[in-house]
Amino acid sequence: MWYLRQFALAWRLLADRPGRFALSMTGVAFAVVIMFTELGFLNGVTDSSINLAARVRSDLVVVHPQQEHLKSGVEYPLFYLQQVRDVPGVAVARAVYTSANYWANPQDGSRNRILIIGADIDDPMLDIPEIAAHRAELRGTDTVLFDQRARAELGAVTPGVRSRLAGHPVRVAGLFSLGPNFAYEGHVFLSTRNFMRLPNQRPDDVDLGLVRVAPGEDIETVRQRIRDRMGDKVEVLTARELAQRERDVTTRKAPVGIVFGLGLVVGFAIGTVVCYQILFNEVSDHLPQFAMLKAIGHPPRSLTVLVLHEALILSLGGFAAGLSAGGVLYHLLEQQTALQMDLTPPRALLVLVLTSGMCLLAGRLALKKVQAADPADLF
Amino acid sequence: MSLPPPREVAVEIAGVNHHFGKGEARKQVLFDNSLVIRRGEIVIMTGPSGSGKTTLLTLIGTLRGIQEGSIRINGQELAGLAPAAQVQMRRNIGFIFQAHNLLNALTARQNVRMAIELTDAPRARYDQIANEMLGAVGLSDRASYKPRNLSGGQRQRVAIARALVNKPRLILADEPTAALDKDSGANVVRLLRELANNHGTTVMIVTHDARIINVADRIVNMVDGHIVSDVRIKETMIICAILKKCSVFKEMSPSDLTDIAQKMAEERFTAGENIIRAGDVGDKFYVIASGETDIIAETATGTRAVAKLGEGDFFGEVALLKDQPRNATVSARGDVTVYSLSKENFLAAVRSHKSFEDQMSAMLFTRG
Repeated sequence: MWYLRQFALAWRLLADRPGRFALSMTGVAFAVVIMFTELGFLNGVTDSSINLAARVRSDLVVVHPQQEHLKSGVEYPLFYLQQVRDVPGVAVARAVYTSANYWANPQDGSRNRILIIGADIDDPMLDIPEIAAHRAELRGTDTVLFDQRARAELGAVTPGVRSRLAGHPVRVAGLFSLGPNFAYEGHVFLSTRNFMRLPNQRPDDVDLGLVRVAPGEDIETVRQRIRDRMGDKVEVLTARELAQRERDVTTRKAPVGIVFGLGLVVGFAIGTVVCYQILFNEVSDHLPQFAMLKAIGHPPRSLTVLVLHEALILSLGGFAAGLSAGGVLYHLLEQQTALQMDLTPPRALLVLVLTSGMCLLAGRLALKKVQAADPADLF
Repeated sequence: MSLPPPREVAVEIAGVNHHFGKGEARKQVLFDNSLVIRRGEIVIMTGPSGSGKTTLLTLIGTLRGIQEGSIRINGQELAGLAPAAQVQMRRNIGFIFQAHNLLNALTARQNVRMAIELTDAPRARYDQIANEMLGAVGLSDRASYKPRNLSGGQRQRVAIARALVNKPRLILADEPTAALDKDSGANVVRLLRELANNHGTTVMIVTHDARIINVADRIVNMVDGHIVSDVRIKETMIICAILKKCSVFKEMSPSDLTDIAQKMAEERFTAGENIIRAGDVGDKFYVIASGETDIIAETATGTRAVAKLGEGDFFGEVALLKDQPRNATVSARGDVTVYSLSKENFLAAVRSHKSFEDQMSAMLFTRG
């Protein structure tokens, strides 16, 4: 009850001057938008970077031990995968081939970098339902599925469109959704057979080996058997670990991830400074009143709670405004960049926590001013 | 006019020194001040700016720490009091500041409630208590107004309502009527008087407002960090009225009489106690503020009471003027309060008067 009374008082102090209150909210909202933007880009980069890894639906993934991420292009011989297939407990082991190459815009002929994925269309072990839907067409020669979320620069691509992939003529049999990332403008999927028809592709250079364990087999046990059998020739990951590896590379090693991660920190710092300035002014304006409250016997704790409640109100108000603005901004950025900008509840919650932390930190700093208020100066 | 019975001590200041600044900039602002204020007294503190009266008030209000000396509020020593205990102590003190320091975001009622919230009053009664107090300062119809919609005087009255609402045992006020018109000021003074009379609230007021001097029981004057005078108004008036009846002093101006009255010390005696004894060297002059005494002298039939003295009478001057031993014993019949003046001060006062010789002759004549 006492806390509620302090909260109500904090609200009245802030809302007493609506113009200034709105300006203060705007200041905090500005910091919130910065954080949302940086977090959006960071998530956009990471989400996009794992867009392929996130579609893997195998129990285990066999990669080259020196492969840091899917775009590093480190391959291993097909017979390694054949050896894996012979490990007890392994039901299926299939190769997935990838190649970074160029797609010719069917309208203007311009070339844009794209990732080509070749896999077994009968059992791709990838969560791309369009493969099954277009399996018959994909069996045809030089047919592909085109990423309908690819950047606009790749042209208006619809089923039946003909273009050139790695300089090789292809026909679009259907569309699927994966989206671009910072390395590629989009993706193209085709059967292993058609993949090998592209220039400079060899069946022996495997990028990913997707493994399904036999029914009733423990995945960890099978993984250990593969490791025992293959030694350090390959690395064996789960699909989740593969996605996490891609995410880690982007957020911790790739410059873009670091830049946007730092941007988030900078946004937090800017917000703290802005919020501190707002609260400092607020506290300064009420300093004689705070000193009076101290004088008549309100304990220092009540003033601490009062100022922190003011900080909390600013954070909530600023967050609400920033969330609205952030939602609009995400939509615009998604349209402009084709990056995946998902404003999920956990991400909004993260920004809320950061905003509250930012304002409470600022409030804590502003409290020094309150603590310095000397009631003796009132006389 | 008679003196009320003595009440318990509310504020006891003893040997208080205070300094501001550090190192070479350290400056003493209070010098060995001592003062005793009883419950229900209204004390007005006067003195020029920088005389230390406000500093003394902040020390009494536990708004500053005591550096040297002792201050006791209702028996509680303030020196060395822990911060939490200081906060608790301040809840029993009503502060009226020159600047009202109201929270502009709150209504008059809500501002008063800020003080009520510190008490054990039931929450459901907060508004009622606040409204009653605002009514007492003439602001019933302004309870829902925010300070920005009140005049300067009204704001000050809200601040006064906030200070008085919990009926504190001690009120410390800094120029409480400075922003008020005559009627409002009188209203506030009436409230303070009521609290002092009905609740035994002790009130200390720093003011330069001559309009409210008549509310004071005492006027304490400070100069350069020293308490230079402590005039008990009622007692002084009683003493002056008695002195006026004494032929030695009757031609003196009120100012001179007040000076003498200030030099007189209160003494209390119980039934049967001798105030002066026959044959002793005369060293004091006495006036009786309350009670009755017997004058006991040697007569042909033995030692017996030859006369009675009561409230408003005086005695002891003959031995001082003639430099002789006491010619009678004066004994208390019941509880007696007298004010005594030392021989030195008595003679200095008498001699300073231009008609000393005439007065002396007249007095000796009337006394036989």
